Order: sequence, then C-alpha cells, then structure tokens
Amino acid sequence: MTAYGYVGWALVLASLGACCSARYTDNWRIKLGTAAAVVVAAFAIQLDRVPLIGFVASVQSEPSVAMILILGSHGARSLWPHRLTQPDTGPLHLCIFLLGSAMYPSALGIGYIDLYAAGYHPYAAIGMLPLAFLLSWFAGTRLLAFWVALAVLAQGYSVGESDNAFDYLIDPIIFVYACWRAAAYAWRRYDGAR
Amino acid sequence: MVRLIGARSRRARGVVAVAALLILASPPLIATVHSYDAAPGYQVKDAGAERDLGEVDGRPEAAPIWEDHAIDPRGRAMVHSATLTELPQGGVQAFWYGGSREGARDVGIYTARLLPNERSWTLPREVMTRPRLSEELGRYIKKLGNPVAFLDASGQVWLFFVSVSVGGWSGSAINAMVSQDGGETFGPAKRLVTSPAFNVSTLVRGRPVQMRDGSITLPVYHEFLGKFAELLRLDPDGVVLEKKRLTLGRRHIQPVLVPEDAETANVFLRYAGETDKRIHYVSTDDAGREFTAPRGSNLPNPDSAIDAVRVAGHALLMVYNHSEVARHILALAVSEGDPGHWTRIHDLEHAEAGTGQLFSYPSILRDQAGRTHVVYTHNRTYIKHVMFNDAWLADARRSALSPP
Repeated sequence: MTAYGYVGWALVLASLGACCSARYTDNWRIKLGTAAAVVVAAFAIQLDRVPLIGFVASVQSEPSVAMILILGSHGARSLWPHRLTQPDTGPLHLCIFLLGSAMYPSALGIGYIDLYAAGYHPYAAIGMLPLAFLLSWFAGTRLLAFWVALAVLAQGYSVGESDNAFDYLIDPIIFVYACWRAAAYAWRRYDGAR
Repeated sequence: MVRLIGARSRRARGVVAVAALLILASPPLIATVHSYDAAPGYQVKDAGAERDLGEVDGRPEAAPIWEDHAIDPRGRAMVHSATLTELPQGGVQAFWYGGSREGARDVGIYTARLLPNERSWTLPREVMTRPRLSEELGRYIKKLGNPVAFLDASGQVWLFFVSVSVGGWSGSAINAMVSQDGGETFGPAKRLVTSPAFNVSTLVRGRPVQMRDGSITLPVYHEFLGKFAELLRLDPDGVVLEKKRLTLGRRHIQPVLVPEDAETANVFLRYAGETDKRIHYVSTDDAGREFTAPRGSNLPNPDSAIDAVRVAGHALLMVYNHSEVARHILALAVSEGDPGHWTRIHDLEHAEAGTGQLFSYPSILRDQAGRTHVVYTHNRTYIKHVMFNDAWLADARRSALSPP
C-alpha cells in the first residue's frame, strides 16, 4: 500500500469513527478522540503480522477520491456540525452511479469495449481536465470539480497503487453507497409525487 | 492567491482552486502524452529466424542433442506451474510454486538455475513466501500461484506471479518483482491494479514480449464472471500503460503471445469452454492495434495450459496436451507458418488414459544458442526439464512427416 492509501484509509476510518460517536455525544473532543482511537487501532493492532487496515486493504486496496471526499465531509460535519454547511452531494452520487453502472459491467467482461481500459490512457485524464473546469465554472458544483481535479492530480503524480484514472475517481464500495443513495433519492421523488 | 487575483465570491474561489489543481496536474500528463506510443511494435529476437530447422549458420548442426532432468522439489509434496527465462549471463532459470498442496498457506515461489556448461540444476531456493508478500504489500495474502519470468532488453529479470487475498483463484491479482542482478535477488513486490472491482481476477501464465520502445506486453486473463484473455502493456518501471481485450465470454484463458515480426503476432489460447475443445488463436498484423476473432486450430485442448515459441523462419513450436479430455499426453507440434495448422512431431510424455498420470503446465523457451528448453509439471511431484537442439527437432519433424 502506498502513502496515499494509508492517508486515505486513515481519513476514511477517522470519519467513520466521528460519525458513529456523533450518535451518542455532542462533545467534539470525544468525537475527535474516537476518530483517533479508530485510526490507531486499525494501524497498530496486528493479526498474523498484518495490521487490521491490511485486511481492509486486502479487499479494497486504496480508497478513491470520491470515498475520501464523501466520508471526509460527513466526518467533518459530525465533528463541527454548526460550523460546516452540508455540501450538495447529490450530483456527485449521481455521477458515481452513472460511471460505475457503465464501467463495472464492461470491465468484468460484458462486451469488447472495456471502459476501464481507457483510464490508463493519458488522453482520458486530459479529457477530464476541461470537464472539471467547466463543472466548476458553469455548473457551480465545486465538489464535482474537486473530485475530478483531485483524481486527475492523484493519477498524474502516481500517488496511489493504481495507474488508472478511474480507480482514483470511484471504487466499488462508494459505488454501492451511491446506488443506495440514488435509490433512496428516487424513492423520495416517487413517494413525494404520489 | 485567491486574494491576489481578487476572487471574492464562493464560486470564483472554487474556480480558482480547481484551476490551480488543474495546473498542478498538467506537467505529468503532458510528459505522459509526449512519451506515449499506442503500438510500438514487437522486438523480435533472431532465434535462428532466417535458417531452416537443423542448421547452424547455414550448416547442418552436427548431431541431435536431447537431455532431460528432474529438478529437485526440495521435499515439497506439490510443485506446479513452472516458467523459464534466460539469464543475462547465459543459462536458464526456472520458477514454480510449491508447498504441501495447491493453495496451502506454506506455498512459496521457488527457483533453480541451469548454468552454461552445467549438466544439472542448482538446488532450488524460495524467492517469495506468503508472509513476505503480505509484509511488502501491507495486506493479508491467502495464497500464491502462477509465476512468470522474463528477461527484458535492459537485462532486468522480471518475476510476475499471482496472489489471492479473498476467495479462490478467480480472486487473484498480479504482482511484479524485478531483479537487477540477473535473477539472484529481487526487489520488493508491486501489485498491478488491472481491474476496478476490488482488483480481483487477473492472472498470468504466458511469458511477456519485449516491445521496441522498451515497454513489455504481458498476456493476462480473467476467470471471475467471464473467462477471457487480455494484454497488458507495462513501461520499464512496471507502470500499466494499456490494456487490450482479446476475447469475450467464458471460453479463453492463459494467452500465449508469439510475435513473428514487428507487426505480426499470434496469441494462442487455452480453451476453457465446453463445445470446441481445440487450441484457439487470434492474430494481429498491426502490432496489436486490432486482433482477429478467435479461431480454432487443429490441435486438441482438454482445458489445459499450452506454450509456444518461434523456432526457425516462420516455424512455430507448440507444447500442449494432445487430448480433449485429460492431461496424460504431453506433445510437441510444429506449424510452418499457418497458426491454425500443426503437425504433432513428438510426445514428451505418453501415459495410458485413466491411469491418473498428469503432465501439465509446460513452458517453452529458445535460448541464444538456438536450443529449446521445456519445463513442465510431472504428476505434480516434480518439475521436469527437457532440452534439445535444432538437429533433434529437424529429425523429429522428418520422422513425423515421413510415411510409416
């Protein structure tokens, strides 16, 4: 695992720790302490000479930028709910859902076109650069723009284990989460229209 | 910077921040695009390409040579999936995995060498263990499998092998290690990320091919939901540059890439389907930009590993199991230019069907001296090595072609 993976998982686990403790307390010090304890436990406790985080990484190697952004924003708002406003994550969930729905089946062998293979090509990242800029300029969705720009940056400097831009954009765990959020959103729309 | 350019609104600040990220991202992208070559062409070694079988420098080689050796399994109950590579200093090196049983926690990757002018293999030693890989990758590793070794144009010896963290072999990922001292010691393992779905189900078996721009093309395959073959192109540092799908469905695994010249190559495929139990192949004549659809050859395949090498002129030599149902016959076949048509010339092993004898997972290599080496699993108890020269091969071909 690379430094990106370690830092990414530390942020994700800290956010999960903060979110869980926020159910039981409003004290930000306790929440921060819980987040730190979760991270220390994941990295310090070893089974068969492998830290607990190694078992997480044996399934999902490194977290994507999307996972870090989404869980990180949840964690930060859990810690300081009055200081931070909730970003609109709907468009990001929708993009993850659409990208994952097209990419995972094709990568697993459905059809000759392997969308994932395009992520190794430098032109894929070059195509994403103006996309990120347009998103931030016209659509005003800064979260989406940061998502794309950070992923391109991470791939460009090879900070993670993967050489594929799509691995920095999304991962299967955040794709499942986005599917659930998309389904919940659709159900709310359907229920509201009834 | 935001104050400097006077961006005060939230949107303007966001735009400035994103623009800054994009500017930061540009240099490595520009460098990558600058050095990117979509199809650099195969670097084909002169393996006696311009002479006929049985000739050395235009003259018939003196006498047929045939040798076989058993490589000491060092007390391992099970050994399997051997691969061969040449060494920069001459000689050949074999790698395989061995342990108490396939998939056991004590399975490691072993290696032994046959040095120039030596008649026997060195004692095997372990080059990779499950705990070592776990430590180097910082994650849990359940088992190790298929190694593939390769000597690149710069003299580095590459060792690719699969590892599994969760599930069976279909949950495999590929790891790569590089030796700068001719296969003596290897640097830390690097995991290749080749699939977006938890990076599972990409395996190796076929030897890589050197490309003219210094990159290497590694044949790989999937066997999770589909069973299909792909090619990965890696730069000299092991960065994945490109992935190309060769087949579809659940029928073709373990591709073997055999280039003929810079633009032309064939990829032979183990058939893992139910209906057409023959060795299949796809071809390219534009250095891998496009491949034909899979076609069947005249050689049977009982869903078992194969290997092939170019020997002389356009002749190809294949080692394979000559049966549609079992692995009890391991044979050599020659093709004289048509990758779909082969002549069986010799049986390396021939046991009666139903006796439980298994001869499998061959690896074939032609060395600088023009001699051909084959290693394969002998009943999963030891790795057998066979070496012969072109004179022997020419004799075997003549015998096979002449009427009884």
